[in-house]
Amino acid sequence: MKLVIAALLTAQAVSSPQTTFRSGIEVVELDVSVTRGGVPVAGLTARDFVLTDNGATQEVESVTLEQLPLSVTMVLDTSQSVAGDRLQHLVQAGEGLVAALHPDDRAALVTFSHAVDLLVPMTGDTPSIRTALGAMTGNGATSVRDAIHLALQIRPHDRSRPLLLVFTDGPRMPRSTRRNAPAWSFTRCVWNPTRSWTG
Amino acid sequence: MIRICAVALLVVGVASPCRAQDVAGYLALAREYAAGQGEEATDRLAIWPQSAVSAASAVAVTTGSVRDLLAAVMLHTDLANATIDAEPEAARFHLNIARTVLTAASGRIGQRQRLEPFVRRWFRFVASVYTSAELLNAAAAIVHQGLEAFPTDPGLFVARGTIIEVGVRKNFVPDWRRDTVFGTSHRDKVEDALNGAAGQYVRALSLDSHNAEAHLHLGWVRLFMADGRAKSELDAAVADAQDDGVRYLAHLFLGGLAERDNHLEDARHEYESARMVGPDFQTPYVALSRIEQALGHEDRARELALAGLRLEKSDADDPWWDHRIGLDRQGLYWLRDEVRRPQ
Repeated sequence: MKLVIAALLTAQAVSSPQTTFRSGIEVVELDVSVTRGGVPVAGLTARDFVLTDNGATQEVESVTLEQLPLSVTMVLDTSQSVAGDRLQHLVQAGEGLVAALHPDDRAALVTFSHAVDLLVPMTGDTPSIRTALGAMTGNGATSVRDAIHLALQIRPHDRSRPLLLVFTDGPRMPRSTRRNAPAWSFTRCVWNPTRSWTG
Repeated sequence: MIRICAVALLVVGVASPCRAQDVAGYLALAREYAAGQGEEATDRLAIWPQSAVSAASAVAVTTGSVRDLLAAVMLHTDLANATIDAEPEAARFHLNIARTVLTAASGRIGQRQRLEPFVRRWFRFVASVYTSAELLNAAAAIVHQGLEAFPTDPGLFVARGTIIEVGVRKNFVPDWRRDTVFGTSHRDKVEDALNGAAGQYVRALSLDSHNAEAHLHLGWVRLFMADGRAKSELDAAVADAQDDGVRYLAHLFLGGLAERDNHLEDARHEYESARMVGPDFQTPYVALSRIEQALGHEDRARELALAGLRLEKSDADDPWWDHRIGLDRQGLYWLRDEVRRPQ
């Protein structure tokens, strides 16, 4: 369920003889979710909402209730460190998620080890996702940050609700045979200001 | 007296159970390796009992040609490189045999000088194999042995610096699950260690001012230490690069440096250069997508992300990974080529 609040925002014109400007009214949509005890609250109207922008109360024009499909991007760690039971648990979790999707929902499957792979682009064809889940193997290093960046980039820009689910056991990993596993890596992002050695 | 001698001979015979066909088989494997069938040869050597390998190689060093012996060196070395993560002790065994065979080959009359480039590169490469497996004491030991033979070899000083770098990564990288943030003392230790690594690279450059590997590593370390001299080192690495791997990494790191300083256009330029050198590797696509997003070019960021995701799965060869673990893959290729070159 999705509530869409359309607020009327009036641009404030600044008086200046040197400046050319346009004034007008912009409608801003805000997505909100209202729940009580984990259950969506029904029957809400514009009068039930107060919207402020930097402390200034805005007019809430309308509230619409929509049931929008999900677009779920599953981002699964398939590095060496999850090989075995952990990977099986990941597969089971993925299958559980796919089984819980509604007919209008869609899902994509991204896996990452040293490389990030788009195994299944966004689709409503859930059997193809189950097949891909069943074929996954654990190997290689962990490019979790790259995976998140790439998965965020490919999220659908439509009216569906995008949801990104990332499963990983973290970047540390034991190394395996070099023929198959090139490296352990903390992150492949070349510059990572929050994690640099120099703080 | 006669009886005692007979017993002694019998004991010697049992202690050296090397049949002629074992030696022939061993040298045949070496020739198979030299003929380009490296994977098949290493797979077959891997199932030999170590006692048989020791015995056959001990005889081969006296009977095999220098060409066969160099091939045997690389047969053992390649096998060790392939298996060191899974079976470090077996890998160490094969590298020790390789070293013994190499010593024997270079000890042949007139061979020492001729084989010197090979031997130098072998020491550097083996150090990198141990480093990449985080067997840092073994790596330091092989560098020490190499420097005893070649005290002014810049590559061995680069190898020594790389051991320190990998040690820092192994011992000091924070555990993200605990959201660790370095304290001052921790940071000091890291910086002390990295200063040590930088010192090795500076030493290498004092021996060869155009050593691109040394410039690259020094630039990388200085990038992390927020040292303003990083850029000049990375520029020098680009200028002196002998292979695409170094050139690719230098551009990546220059991009990282510019990105850190929020010079996004410069970062884009460098990452584009990296992508031109290594169009099959995912790293520059991710970096470029990040930059385009930061520049507000959402469509371009998405396009690059998709392009990166659609690459064929050759990303394991991205030099980035070898750099992270300190593996001198170019050294491996060079050594292989040396033993496979037609005479």
